[in-house]
Amino acid sequence: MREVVAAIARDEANWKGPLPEGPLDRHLDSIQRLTLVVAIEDRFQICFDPEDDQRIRSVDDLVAGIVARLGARS
Amino acid sequence: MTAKQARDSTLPEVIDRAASADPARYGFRFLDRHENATWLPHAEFRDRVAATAGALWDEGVRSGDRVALILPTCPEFIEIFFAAQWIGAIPVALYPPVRLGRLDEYHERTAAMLRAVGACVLYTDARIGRILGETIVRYRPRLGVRQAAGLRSGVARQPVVVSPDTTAMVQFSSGTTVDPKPVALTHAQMLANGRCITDAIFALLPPSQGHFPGGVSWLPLYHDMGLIGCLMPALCGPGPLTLISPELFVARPAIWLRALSKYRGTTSPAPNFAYALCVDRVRDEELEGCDLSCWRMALNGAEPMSAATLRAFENRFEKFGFRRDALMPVYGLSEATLAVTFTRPGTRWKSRRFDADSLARGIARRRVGAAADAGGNSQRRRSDRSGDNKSGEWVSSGVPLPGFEVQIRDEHGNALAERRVGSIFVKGPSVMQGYYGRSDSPVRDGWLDTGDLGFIDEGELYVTGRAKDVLVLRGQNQAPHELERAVDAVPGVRVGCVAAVSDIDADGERLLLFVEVRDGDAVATGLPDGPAAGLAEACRDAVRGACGVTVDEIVLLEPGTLPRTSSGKIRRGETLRLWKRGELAPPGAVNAWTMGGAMLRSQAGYARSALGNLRKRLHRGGEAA
Repeated sequence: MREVVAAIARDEANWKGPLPEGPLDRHLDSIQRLTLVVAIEDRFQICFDPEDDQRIRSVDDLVAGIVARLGARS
Repeated sequence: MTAKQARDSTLPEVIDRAASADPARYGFRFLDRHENATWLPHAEFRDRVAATAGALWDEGVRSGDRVALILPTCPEFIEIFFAAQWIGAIPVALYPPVRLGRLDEYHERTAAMLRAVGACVLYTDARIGRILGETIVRYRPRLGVRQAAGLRSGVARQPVVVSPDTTAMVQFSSGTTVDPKPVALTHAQMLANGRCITDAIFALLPPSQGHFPGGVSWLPLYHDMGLIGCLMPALCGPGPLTLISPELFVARPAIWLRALSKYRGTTSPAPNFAYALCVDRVRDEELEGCDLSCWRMALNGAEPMSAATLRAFENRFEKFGFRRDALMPVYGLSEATLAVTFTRPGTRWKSRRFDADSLARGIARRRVGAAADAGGNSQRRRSDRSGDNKSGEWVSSGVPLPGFEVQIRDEHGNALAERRVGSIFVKGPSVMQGYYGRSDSPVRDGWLDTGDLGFIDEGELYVTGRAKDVLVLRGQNQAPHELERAVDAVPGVRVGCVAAVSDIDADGERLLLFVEVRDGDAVATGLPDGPAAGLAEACRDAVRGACGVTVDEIVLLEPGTLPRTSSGKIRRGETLRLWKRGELAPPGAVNAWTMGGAMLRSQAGYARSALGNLRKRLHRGGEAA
């Protein structure tokens, strides 16, 4: 899952290098974050709630959020 | 349109008239993330507004009440916005939270805006409503937070008769979290500006000659460019308007261009960054089969423009039919409702090279032999700030719209001649009278002090900087002190010794951060991998984390370098001026000699003052005798 997120971050959000450690908002500006989250929603056909947005602070949170949404859907 | 349109003096009248247009051709089209369209004809829109107005009334909203909206781009937004006006209330559109953004500051800012207008109710949707609890703890509207869905099933009401000079809406301008500035606009002002824009569209594309002007917009509806620049022409024209959500555009900018091609959009405004984003991110295969030749007015405003971006956009999308006379740099601000100057429709955008040193000293001196009169004709593509050849290519924002005047004034309020840099003052039919509920106003005798700096050359406005303390990043205003506060927490930074400054040059607006460090030696070493580099990166991360923007350049300074006012406030504009001249330097070291000299000068000053007083007393005594 991390590899898929890394590929989306690289291809869509113009993120260079390995996925950032720590808080996303310290590494990605608001446009990159928005691009990343919309691209992930499109890629996995999921939709994060505003509460998810609040919880997601790091790449790990993001991956956990995707897994949870996919689980809820199935 | 003009004869009939002139009789409409309020928004409900305009909506009523638009409702008579052919429902198959005139209306709003909402695109979802799969680019599926929902069509809302103006006729049905009018009925929905009347029904929503009935629901608002039943929920307790009355004439003069301020009705806040926090909604994405959706039919409910425009229905509630105009329904509030329908019953004489005042809509106030606020922005929703940014995805994956920090919410603490959002709550604080939103509550401050609600408080500033004394909102009686807040309408939102179920998704956003769930996270507004913290906002409501800070400011609770009298009628609470209510759902936008379902209001259109209310019982239709007739519009309340209001005067054209009644406040029709409030939009937020610059300002800060603790001090937001609500711009109050009347029906007359909204319509005056909407008609200026509509007239410009119809002058280029007269329906009498078979043209069918239509808009496409991804701009947020809580932003003046989206609300006034797109919704108003759609109603005043009337005309069709295709709406895309801003987050869809940012994530996939090709959607904007595809919508223009598919729905034959003729008019679409956007800030400079949007054009740059398209150049960077849109791939050819995403535009397969697209024809952008219909796009006749690609307005570029809301933030400083870059000739390089305009040129890159033209070059990039020319093969998809984009016309080189379509790009239209414009200037406006929310205190003037929106539009003030336009590039003449159908003409090529203009740029010129001006000597950078002269410009820094307030004189716009053209560079001989380096003219770039028409956009794209210049062979020199970037600002050149090196050597003896310092000049920059500046983009003209065009000429004042009919009914508007633009003046450049010096610091004493005197009008300046052409090519003299000063404060931009604006007068016109849509300039606000003042901020809502505030006594301070930048308007005197009908003239609005825009807070921007610029000059006029051959009747055309060039914006070169900003006197007011606000940065415009990606079309959004940002208070500098919020960026500075974020950096205060970085270890090694002197708290309260940071200046966030906007540097507007030929390439657009750049965010510069001047940071005094505790250890001046860190600045002196300045190695790429030394402590200075680490500190600069930490500052950059802090700003990105707190405000979501990336700093273009960080300048680390020795302690005491930033110029301050007598009361200790940092002089941001002066910081930038000194830095550009290479004169931003730390104060000289204090030793016994310099301290002694300062004391002597101080004592001499006191002595001169005492002597002057003695002379006056002697003089008065002599007169009395």
